[in-house]
Formats: sequence, structure tokens, C-alpha cells
Amino acid sequence: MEKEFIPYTLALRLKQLGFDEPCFAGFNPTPFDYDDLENLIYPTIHLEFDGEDIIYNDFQTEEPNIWTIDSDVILAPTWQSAFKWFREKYNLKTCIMFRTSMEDDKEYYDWLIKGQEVVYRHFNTPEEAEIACLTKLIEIVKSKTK
Amino acid sequence: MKKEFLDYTEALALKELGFDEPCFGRYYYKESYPMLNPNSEETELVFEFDQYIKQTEITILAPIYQQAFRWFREKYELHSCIHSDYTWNISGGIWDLNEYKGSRYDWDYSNNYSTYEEAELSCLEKLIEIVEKN
Repeated sequence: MEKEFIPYTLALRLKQLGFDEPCFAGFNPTPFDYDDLENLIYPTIHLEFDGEDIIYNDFQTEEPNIWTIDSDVILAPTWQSAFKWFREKYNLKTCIMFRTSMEDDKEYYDWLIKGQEVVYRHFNTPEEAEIACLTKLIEIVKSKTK
Repeated sequence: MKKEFLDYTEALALKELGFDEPCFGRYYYKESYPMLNPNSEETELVFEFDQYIKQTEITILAPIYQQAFRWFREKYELHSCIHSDYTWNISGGIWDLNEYKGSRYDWDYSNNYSTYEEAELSCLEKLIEIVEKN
């Protein structure tokens, strides 16, 4: 399920921008192996015990008490929660578009950010387009807050 | 975090269409909120990302939205996206959908919805409807 989360480098940049929303997972802030950062993702949500029985935690509340996390951890947002954060906090609305080329029927993906110049780069996968889009969002916010 | 997940109705529809992938949550009976989906029935404190309890008659996996949209894209070549209208001048959202039909893609789009989330839900319902029909 690692693919549900944005990469470490982008998660770190989001943290620097102030992202602090409940997440399913985080990256270890003090990894043992710096060459293997992507694999150091770990869950931030735990099951609780009451004696011998498991109390199954649920996601009923918006601020679940199961979100136990220390301030050093680098939160690992899902793609949807990262894009939602930019949408709601900065009114930066995005979409990852699927298109086919009229010339050769080739399939490709591009990103759009409302209010930004459209630059078609024709990514081969939606994941590549998502990374590029998120990188652009971070750049926009960073430039605005300088 | 409840908003990350599909509602019970859509999660049930996906189960009936054959969705069966690791999920962070699951619905138990007809509860209106998803519960954490642990990696096993054993008393594990932390769940493993690539392991999960399989669905049963009374449990339904609760995908997050991105999982559901990816599943339709990868399994049925149904490519969708949610965005503002083409003039980008109004709030809310619309969906746009490319459905592979043999040798070409058919394109469809919705009317404007007042919020992004409403457009997202409508898109998901449309995807379910398409697969159910086929």
C-alpha cells in the first residue's frame, strides 16, 4: 500500500510548508539507512487493547484519538489528502487528465492547476503526472510565502 | 479521516464488482463509519500495509477514493478526473470521463456540482453504473 502515499521527498516539503493533518502513516525521522528512505514508512494508527480483547479503532471522528504521533515524524499523506490540502488551504485546484493524441493515438497524462498556464508535458503514467503536479504546487506555495 | 473513504454504499457496490485489494479500513455490518482493517485476526498492534483481512459476508473493504478511481482505471480502462468547469471560473466541480470502447475512447462529462466532493461521488457512481451495465 506504499503507493497510496506521496514520496518521502515531497512529504518532507509538505511538512516544511506546514502540512499537519491526520495521516495513516509517517516516515521515520531518524532512519537507519538513508539510502532506503522510501521503505521506512510506518503506520501511525494502531489498534487498542482492553485487557485481552482488541477494541477495533474506527475513523468515526475527524480528529481520531488513534492518531498518536510525535512532532518529529514526517507525515505521509495519501495523494488525495495532499491535493485536498492544497485545494482547501490555498484554493489550488488540480486535475490529472487522461488524453489521447489525435496524431498517433498515444495515451498520455497531464496535470492542470487552476489559474496556472497549461503546459502539456505528456506523461506516460498518472503517477508521473501526479508527482509533477504536486511538485509544482509546492513551488507555487513556496514562492507565495517567501 | 472518515472522508478519505468511500461511503458504505459505494464500498458495497465495489465489493459486488469484485474489488479486493488491501485497504486501510473496512465496514462491519452496515456501520456508517469505516473501522481500521488490521492485518490479521491475531492480536497485532500494528497493521501491515500489504496484508489485510479478506472480505466476508459481514465485512466490506473500505477503499479510499484514489484507490477506487485507480481500480477503475487499471481494471476497466475508465479514466476519470474531477475539476472545475472548463472556464475555471466557478466553484465546485465537474467530472470528465474517458471510457475505452474497443478501438477508441468515448468522452463524457457532468454538469457542475457545488462542491468537489459531490462531483467526486457522482463520478464514482457513474463508474459503478458503467461497469454494472457491461
